[in-house]
Amino acid sequence: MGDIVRTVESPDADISYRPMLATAAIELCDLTKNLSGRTVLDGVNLTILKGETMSVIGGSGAGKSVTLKHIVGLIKPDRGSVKVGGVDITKDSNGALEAARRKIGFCFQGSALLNSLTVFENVALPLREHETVSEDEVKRRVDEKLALVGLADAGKKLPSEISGGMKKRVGLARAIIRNPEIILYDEPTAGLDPVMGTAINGLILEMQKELGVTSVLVTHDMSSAFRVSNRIAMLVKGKIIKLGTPAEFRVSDDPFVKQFIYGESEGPLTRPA
Amino acid sequence: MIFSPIVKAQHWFESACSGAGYTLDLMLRAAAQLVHLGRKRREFIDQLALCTLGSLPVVFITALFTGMIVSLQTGQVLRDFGQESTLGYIVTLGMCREMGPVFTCLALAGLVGSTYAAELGTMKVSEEIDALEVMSIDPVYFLVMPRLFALGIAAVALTIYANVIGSIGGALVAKANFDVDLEIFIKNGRDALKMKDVYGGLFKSFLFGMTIGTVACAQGLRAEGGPAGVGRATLHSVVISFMLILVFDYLLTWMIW
Repeated sequence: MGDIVRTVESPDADISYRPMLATAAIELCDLTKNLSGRTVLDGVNLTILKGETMSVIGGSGAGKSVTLKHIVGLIKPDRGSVKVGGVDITKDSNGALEAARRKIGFCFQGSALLNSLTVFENVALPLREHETVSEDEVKRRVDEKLALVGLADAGKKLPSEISGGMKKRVGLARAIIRNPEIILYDEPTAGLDPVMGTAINGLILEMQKELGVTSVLVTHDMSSAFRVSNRIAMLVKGKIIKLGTPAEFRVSDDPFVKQFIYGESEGPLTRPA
Repeated sequence: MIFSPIVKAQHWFESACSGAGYTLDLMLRAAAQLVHLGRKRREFIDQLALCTLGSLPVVFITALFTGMIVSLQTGQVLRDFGQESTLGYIVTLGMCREMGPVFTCLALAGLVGSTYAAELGTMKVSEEIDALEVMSIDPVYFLVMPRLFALGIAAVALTIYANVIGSIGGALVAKANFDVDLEIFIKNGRDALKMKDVYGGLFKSFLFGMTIGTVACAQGLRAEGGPAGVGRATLHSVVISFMLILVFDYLLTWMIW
């Protein structure tokens, strides 16, 4: 755990320095998916180690969110496999998928809070549906998670009464309410002002520091990726073209990486196929 | 190019078959979840209140004028034969067997079915359904089952209400236009009705209600493409429900009577 904490404080550190992270939490093997006649993922191979924070970057339509949805079984691959904790969840076994989902918390891009429920009820939902716990215990755990994301007083509000940043934090509280081993973040800072974006990044770091979870972010916010990641994978047209530490990305000569990091309008990413 | 309409027809047919299969599967999955209704009683009661209380004014107007129109039209024909006194027989029987169930459920398809499709469609496009699945909460158990059975029961309750209101409307017109005494109207109505007529009509309502609920939820859960997709799901929900109510009405009438 001490190594993980040190990693959080210096996110550019090389992953290979931490032997305790050598076990795979998630493995994507030859993942291929076609949607509406277009190849969205084209043989993606990626291993995410236990306890690390991996950012998957890439432009719009690069296949980032589709990758994340494969990990929780919302999309089935046309070819290849997804292993969570060593178990293939793409086989026709609901048990494996359910077990994997038990380990995973998912923060949606738009928060995906149930609008008919209050903030408290949203966060309490997984507990009430899956665990036989008293209402006092539900209240204790929900209050604890809401306090962790800085929303101790927002429990009675409806999602329509809170800001986008607060919704993201409620989504995070709901994702961690059952203490998952893995948290997936879909564009966690998209649509937020820089201050709120920094606050969300701080929460992602805190999740790793406090809970020791494995995190996977998909984002096109490079400042966020550099700040919170141990490693970064870049997706272009359904393929991973570079995998490395933030430090390696910063000094990369790869024209795709350079264009994306510096947000240049001219380059291989914007060149017609 | 010449095959384009054939290809389009093939795609439409495949899409229709896929939609019908999904809808039927959804109804069966919801039925299988009925054992968990106790855990969803709050949602079930909320939906029941929404379906019944929210539809009372529309069903009142629909049923009242349906009874009045039936009474007025048939009364004019019966007057030529001096048979106006049998209006109670025709109006009451017509309301309980056909007009009550069909018009109530057409109103429910427009009022509640469209609401369900829009609600679930919005949840689908805003990833709320995905969020439930990721939390291992079956949307069929959580959202569809309580709505479906609330609508089935609400359809029965509202049909009883519509039968009464429609018969009152028919009696008022019979009295005002054809001078048929209220007592004679009621007596003829009572004589005409058999238990099979009442229960047959209510059975139809229950099936129509379940059909509306299933179609609406299925359309909502299959919505895609943002607000436009939700709009399409709502439209399809109402149109398909209207057609199915009439088709099933014919088949059930043929089977029951």
